[in-house]
Amino acid sequence: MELERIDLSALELSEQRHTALVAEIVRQSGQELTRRAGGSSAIIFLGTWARPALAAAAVLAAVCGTMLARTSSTDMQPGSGIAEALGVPTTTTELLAANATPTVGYMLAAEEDTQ
Amino acid sequence: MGLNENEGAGVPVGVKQGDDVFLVQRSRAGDADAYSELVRRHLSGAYAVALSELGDTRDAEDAAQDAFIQALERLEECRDPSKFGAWVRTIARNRARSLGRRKRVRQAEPLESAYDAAGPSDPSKDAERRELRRHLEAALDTLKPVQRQVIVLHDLDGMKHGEIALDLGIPEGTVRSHLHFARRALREKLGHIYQRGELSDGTGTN
Repeated sequence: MELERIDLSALELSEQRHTALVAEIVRQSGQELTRRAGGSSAIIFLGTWARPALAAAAVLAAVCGTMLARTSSTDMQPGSGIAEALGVPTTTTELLAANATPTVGYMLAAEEDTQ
Repeated sequence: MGLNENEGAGVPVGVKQGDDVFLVQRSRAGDADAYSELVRRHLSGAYAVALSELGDTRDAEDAAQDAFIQALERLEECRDPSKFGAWVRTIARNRARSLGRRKRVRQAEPLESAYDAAGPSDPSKDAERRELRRHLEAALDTLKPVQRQVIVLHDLDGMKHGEIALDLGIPEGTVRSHLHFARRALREKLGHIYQRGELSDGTGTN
């Protein structure tokens, strides 16, 4: 059997004390609240700045995508582009494009190309 | 910004103004009114938890106050804002334990001036209350820590046995046992006050 509840209400915060404590806590939190209010303003500012920047990036990506799609793979010639820029001999790129096994003649021609 | 202005701050859809979730969101954005309301709602609970740890009302006030200041600084860590009350009680408990361990001397009395500034109440009743508080604190001090926690959380804060069991991580039967012995011990210590009729029993037996 449980004994009756003990009246501990004298230990409770009085209404007056409660009000004073709330006010004191909010007062001491003022600096942090101000910091947070400032921080949220900065985030809103960055957000408004980021929106047009993202929109511009999206437009740029769409334009680039369209241009790439229009470039047909048949337009690319062996020996042109990156291989040529890297100095790969024309005969070698022709060989690769044809997926053929190099012959002695090809190798000699390639040797001549590099010279 | 007032609480009735539901503008900005990313308030989630479906959240009613005045909910703890809404208040936490507003507080994260630096809304002083919102945080003031959160403190007003949950101060008594945090204070009760701190008192259950410390057994001293002034230290409990300090711990509760520290808990709310720390809670604001760590508000992003409150993963479920609907449980802000439970979260701040945990912080209050940790603050109280830390305070209890250090047994530090109170460095400042800023609250006293705030208390006085709130205006005088009935001086005779205040004196009587202070006297009762002193007796109760002395009696609580004689209990084992877990008994003090259980009786304060139950008889002052109004928590149920099951809630206390969950809170303290002990079986519900153990909570009932501690409550029984704590009440008996306090009744013995405070017998003279009961006889004078200054401290009446509360209602209910659970």
